Amino acid sequence: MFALEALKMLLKKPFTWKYPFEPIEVPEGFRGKPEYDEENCIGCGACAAVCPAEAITVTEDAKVVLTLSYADCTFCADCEKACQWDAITLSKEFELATLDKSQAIVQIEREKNVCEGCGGTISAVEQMDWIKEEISEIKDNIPADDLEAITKLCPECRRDKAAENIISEVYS
Amino acid sequence: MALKIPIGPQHPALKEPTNFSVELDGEEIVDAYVKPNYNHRGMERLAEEKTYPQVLVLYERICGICSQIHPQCFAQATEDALGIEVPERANYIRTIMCELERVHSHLLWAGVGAHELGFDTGLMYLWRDREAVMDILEMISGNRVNYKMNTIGGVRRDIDERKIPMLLEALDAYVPQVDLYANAFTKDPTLRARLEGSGILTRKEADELCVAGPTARASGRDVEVRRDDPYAAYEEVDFEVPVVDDGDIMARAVVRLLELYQSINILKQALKNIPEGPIQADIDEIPEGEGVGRIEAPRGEVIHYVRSDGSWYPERTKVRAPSYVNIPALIPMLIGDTVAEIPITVASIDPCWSCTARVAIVDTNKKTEKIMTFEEIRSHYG
Repeated sequence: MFALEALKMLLKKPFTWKYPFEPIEVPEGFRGKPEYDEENCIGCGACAAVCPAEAITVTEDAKVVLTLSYADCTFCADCEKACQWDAITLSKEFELATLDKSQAIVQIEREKNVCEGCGGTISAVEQMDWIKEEISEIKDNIPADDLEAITKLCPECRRDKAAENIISEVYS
Repeated sequence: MALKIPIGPQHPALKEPTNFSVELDGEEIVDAYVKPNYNHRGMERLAEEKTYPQVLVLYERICGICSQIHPQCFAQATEDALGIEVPERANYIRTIMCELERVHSHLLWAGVGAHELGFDTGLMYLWRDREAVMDILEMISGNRVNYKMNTIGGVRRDIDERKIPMLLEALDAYVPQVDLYANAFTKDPTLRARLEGSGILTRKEADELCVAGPTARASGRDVEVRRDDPYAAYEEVDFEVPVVDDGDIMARAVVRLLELYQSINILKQALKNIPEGPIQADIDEIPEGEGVGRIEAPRGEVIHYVRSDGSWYPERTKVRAPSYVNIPALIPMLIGDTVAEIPITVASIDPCWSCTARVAIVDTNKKTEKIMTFEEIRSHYG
């Protein structure tokens, strides 16, 4: 039985692939290297919020910067699912080994809106454009003051301002 | 004075960290100690800092082989805590993934077992056939391990209807191969000489140590979560639970080989009867509460506990993996055997050290009555 099998196998091609000397096919739906589409990205940071491995991080110094480190990525595709703008997709590429660490990092920079109150970050410019677009449908329901505050103050300063308003109303 | 041999932390059966210490009288093992706590990974603590869907990714990495079982068990516990109803189709897909993983795990185990016996031809054959089930898993989930199929309230990926005939065909091709191995393991005189009558765990010892999974069922302890407390779609499929009373290594091999037939049987039923519908439940709010998930993993019962405080992060999670209860059973198995049988006896419970080292282990240095007699005899005559 086993001898017959051995003879049969002699005539067949090897069961293993000659990878890396020949390319290897990955299945449909394979989750490989995540790739940003810089045109679509609005810098909202949803991908960083859902990332379980903290492979995507957001820094807000001079600009809003999204940093994706392939060395930390677990290829779970949660970022792809969280992104409403199709700005990040998992490709079929998986050969990510490198000796140069800077090769394993991808960054996206977005201009930011600066808060008039504290000088901090409100959001990326593109994200603010999207927010304005979204609010335009319901802007009749929002007081004009608040509408202006949304575009000029960061969430913390808006909260402070709202508290100030309430206090002044109560004690006036 | 008896000779003490330390084995491990890198020990001969599996390349994972644990330490055995066996006490010998000539070549016979008279006592054994197990110390598995070499690698603390701090996963339960880390899970408290992640949101529920992020914990799924973390717990997928508890075990490389059970990378469907652990996240599914966590998802079940969370669904229990948050009161989420999983859609029927998602339950079927979970069942299919679980059973595919069992087929892959048992074939892998049989290969490792064959390797420990010096039967490397068997290892090559079994692992070649394991590739077919790995390909099926890859076809459904996109990856060979760490499938990322589960989400809280369902599954993330659907099974394409067009793939089902292909999957059924691939499963049919498995049956003659399993026949071949069942034949080889139970009829080959060399394998029988090595496996029969060694590494015995009696029914009484199995009950006392509360062993789980195939290790328990090979000692006549009839426990099976899929039948006793059905989860996913197990209530809607017919299957038998193989139980063997012998308690030796052969019995554990036979139970696993018989389970392979049952898994293929379950897979065929699930693939044929899979209902239409959504694969994810909608989650509106996160209430406070606590929940428990139970799953029959290839090695035995996995239990996950989740407590929710209403926030996005679990307040506490707890994992109990089956190897944790099976490892103390190695002590009665090893006692009375010879040194040459250590690797296959250790491999016979299909241990998964990485699963166990998350918990502080209790002192397993319990001397049974038999050992005391041995000690007494030796001190008397030595």
